[in-house]
Amino acid sequence: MGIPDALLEARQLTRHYPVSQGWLKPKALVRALDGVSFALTPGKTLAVVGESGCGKSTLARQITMIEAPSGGELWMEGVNLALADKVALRQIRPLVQMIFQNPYASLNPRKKVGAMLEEPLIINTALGKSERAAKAHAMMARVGLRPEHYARYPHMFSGGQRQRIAIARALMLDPKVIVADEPVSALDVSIQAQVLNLLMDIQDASGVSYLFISHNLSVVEHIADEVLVMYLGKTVEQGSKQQIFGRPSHPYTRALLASTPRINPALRQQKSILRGELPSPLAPPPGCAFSNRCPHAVERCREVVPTLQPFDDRLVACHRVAELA
Amino acid sequence: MSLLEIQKLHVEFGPAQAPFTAVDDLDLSIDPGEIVGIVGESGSGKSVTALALMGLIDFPGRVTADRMAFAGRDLLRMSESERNGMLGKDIAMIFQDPMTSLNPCFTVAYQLIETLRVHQGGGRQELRDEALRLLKQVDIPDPDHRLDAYPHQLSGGMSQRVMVAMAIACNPRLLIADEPTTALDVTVQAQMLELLLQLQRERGMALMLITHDLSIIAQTAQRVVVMYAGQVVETGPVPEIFKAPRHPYTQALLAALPEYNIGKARLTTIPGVVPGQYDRPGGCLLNPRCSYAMDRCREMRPALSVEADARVRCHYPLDGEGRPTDRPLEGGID
Amino acid sequence: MRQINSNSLETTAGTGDPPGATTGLPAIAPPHPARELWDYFSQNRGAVAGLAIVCGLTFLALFADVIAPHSPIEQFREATLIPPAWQAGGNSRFLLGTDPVGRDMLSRLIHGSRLSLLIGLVSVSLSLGLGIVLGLLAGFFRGITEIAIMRLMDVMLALPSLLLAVAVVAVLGPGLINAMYAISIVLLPHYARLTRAAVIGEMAKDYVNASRIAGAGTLRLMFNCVLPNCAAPLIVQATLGFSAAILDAAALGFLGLGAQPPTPEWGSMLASALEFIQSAWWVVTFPGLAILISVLAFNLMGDGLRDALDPKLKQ
Repeated sequence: MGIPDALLEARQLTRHYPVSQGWLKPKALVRALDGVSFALTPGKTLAVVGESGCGKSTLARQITMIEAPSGGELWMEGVNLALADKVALRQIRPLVQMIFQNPYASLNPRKKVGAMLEEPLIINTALGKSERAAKAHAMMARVGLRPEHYARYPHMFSGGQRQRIAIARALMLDPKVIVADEPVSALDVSIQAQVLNLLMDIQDASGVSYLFISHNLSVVEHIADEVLVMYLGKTVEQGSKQQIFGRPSHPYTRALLASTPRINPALRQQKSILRGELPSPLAPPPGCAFSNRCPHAVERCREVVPTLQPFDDRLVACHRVAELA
Repeated sequence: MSLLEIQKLHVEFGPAQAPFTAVDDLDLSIDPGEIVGIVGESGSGKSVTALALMGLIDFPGRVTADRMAFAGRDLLRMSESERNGMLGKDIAMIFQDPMTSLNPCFTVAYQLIETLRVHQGGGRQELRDEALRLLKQVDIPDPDHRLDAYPHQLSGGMSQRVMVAMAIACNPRLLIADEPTTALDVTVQAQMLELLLQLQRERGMALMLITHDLSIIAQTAQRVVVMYAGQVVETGPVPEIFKAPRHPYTQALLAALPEYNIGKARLTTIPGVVPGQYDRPGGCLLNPRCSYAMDRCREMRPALSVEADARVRCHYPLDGEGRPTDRPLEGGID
Repeated sequence: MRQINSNSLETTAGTGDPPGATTGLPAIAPPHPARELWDYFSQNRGAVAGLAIVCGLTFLALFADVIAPHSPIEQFREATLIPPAWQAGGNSRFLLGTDPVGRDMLSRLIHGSRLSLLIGLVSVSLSLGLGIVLGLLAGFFRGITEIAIMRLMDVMLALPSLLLAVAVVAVLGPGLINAMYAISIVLLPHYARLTRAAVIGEMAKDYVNASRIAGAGTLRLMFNCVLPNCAAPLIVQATLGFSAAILDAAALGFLGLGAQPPTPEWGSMLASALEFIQSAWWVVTFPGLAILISVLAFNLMGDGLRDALDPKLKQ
């Protein structure tokens, strides 16, 4: 099922990690990512929503080619990145860049801002020194930094400014896809608004596609076009923002929305506090991974893994989705 | 009578000639069993306030106040040992990062029992039973096994619950929660807030909830104190303060939330940044960023108004429609 | 209970507000990192004293030929075992006296400083260079590479340092150059372990991934990205390594395995003068004092550097 103008397409992307359990026992397998599929289109944002342990960080590492997937396909520019060799990867790499969550750890403390911005150019282009400096200055202006910041070290900047530097760095190679891993979670509300606006301005101007990872649903509601909800490495619900936020179908999606605090009482959903904990990824339950916490779980849920099926204009992985609608 | 009463708290750091003022002219009072939210961004001084109250500000920080009293006892003039007897027993605190708040070298049982032993005393089995009872109260699943676990074996949510268990061990009258849910996932956050509210109801504790997240305050607190750059800029009851904020900063903070920008292409932002040590403006601290700033705002620092339950620090506070009054409030500077 | 001091408050250090913001106040440029380092370092008086002594030693070493009143190997047959100038029988020509074969103590000590600093410099540079490479390889590639390198380092550490040095010199033959090689080998495991630990810590951080995503290859990641962030503990260890090298060289010289006569190395000066400890104290004491003072100076300086470079102690 190829989507015609997809920039990046993932099909059943899988990543397992072997974990040793001691000398005599066989290695256990952590299924950090288990069959996730999606497509990114230019100028649109796909939000990946989930909590700790859902596999969103693993997904980010696969998309940015830091790790090779254990299974599935990842298509970009006609190349399957899951099976590509080093040369092909080196070609495609500049097209996919990343912004990290922690602005205090994602900038090299020993490099000045200018050097950080020029590093991607040094590695990937043959531009001369003054050309690189000119590009760096142009990018700094674009993200709202001043020219004198070029020669400063990261520890001299606040969290919001560091994220701007990180965004500038991600844009230096003119990427088509940017993976943003919780880019505003560590920022104050007013700075968060500034950085989100900046991200949207950049998207409007350049048509870059975002894979926006976040657990903050109010931010996601603002910035996303499509939403993918993950739980323990699998997709549980996937669709457009309007559908997911307007009529959430999966019990986990509903629980997430109900748990999100809102100021306006009219926007608050039925309170349903989830009990229990995420199951250990080393020993997932035999059926649906959410069954031990789901208020609607029945016998079938605990025995058979639900598959992702179309329902009401989106994809849902739940046995009882039709009954609960 | 108020449980906690603070008048004109002032905390500064650094050399006396060029001090950095972390908290300036703070008034705060909490009644028994009340839930108060303290809201502010980085640099607002909200955490420093709690630490000053607990006496945890080290030299070279300097804490001064006109009055700082808990249950009628003067905190400023208390001796070290009196204060230690009170901390953990009458006033307890939980912190933001559960992973670093628990000692990684000791089991949960050891740390819980240590708290109990210091303030209550008792035999070993007695204390262990009490510790087990506390873990059940904070809804930790499988508490028998968790008692003997080490902090690194617990998830973030579990560790935070252990922290809460330690805090309520001696039935405090005031629980200070400093960003208790910031490091937690959203469903775990909901569980944690539910737990705090339940404990507050059952024990009649007062709860001081410090956070930067306005929506948590809206769902949890009864009264809000909004702080900016070390000063209180507005106090008021929930939900009235969110429906009709009187201070431009509160209004701007609400306007920047995604929740208030549904349907808009861009979020409303507040220009500029919070003033740091070297660039505190004269007059009202917000004036360089405030869209309603007038000359008076640039010259005179406004004082906190004197009403009992809804105070504001502004020369031209906003009315019910969100527009500033056209004549300044009397009693400007302080 | 958690304590707080001012460095955990979040304030805006720079003033990079977006265009259109109004602060109306001039931006204050933060201090240059070297300046900041000096500010912290100079607060520690012991460290500054150590630095001063080291600078003095360097000066002596560089200009020994000009400063020393005599040649260090010239023997004045008629002036053997002359006491220091302030004692009875002393001679202002030989300020610190002469040794059993009539060589001027002061000149020998001054030229000895050149040798000691040279030993420190060469040994530390060699072992630092090799140790960094080994540590980087172990920390970067992990797996079998790490196991092989680290176990080798463990074996080297299991042997007492002096015995190891003696063994190396026994194989290579006595002499100052061979002594330097021996000392480098003895110091090597410390730098390798330190580098590996620092590399593993830094690799977990996001900025390394950021460089990877920008396309940086392994070499670039190792030397351009990670190594500068591991520099602080290495600098401190290198400074302390100087003092270890001087001591080890002195010990080897004392055993007759390092510098050979007539080279004016402090350790071998000590060795040849032991029998005179009661009759001519100055022949033994001054070389010993020289070793003591230089080792102390390097240690003080190293401690001061560690405190100044440790971000957690910053105010």
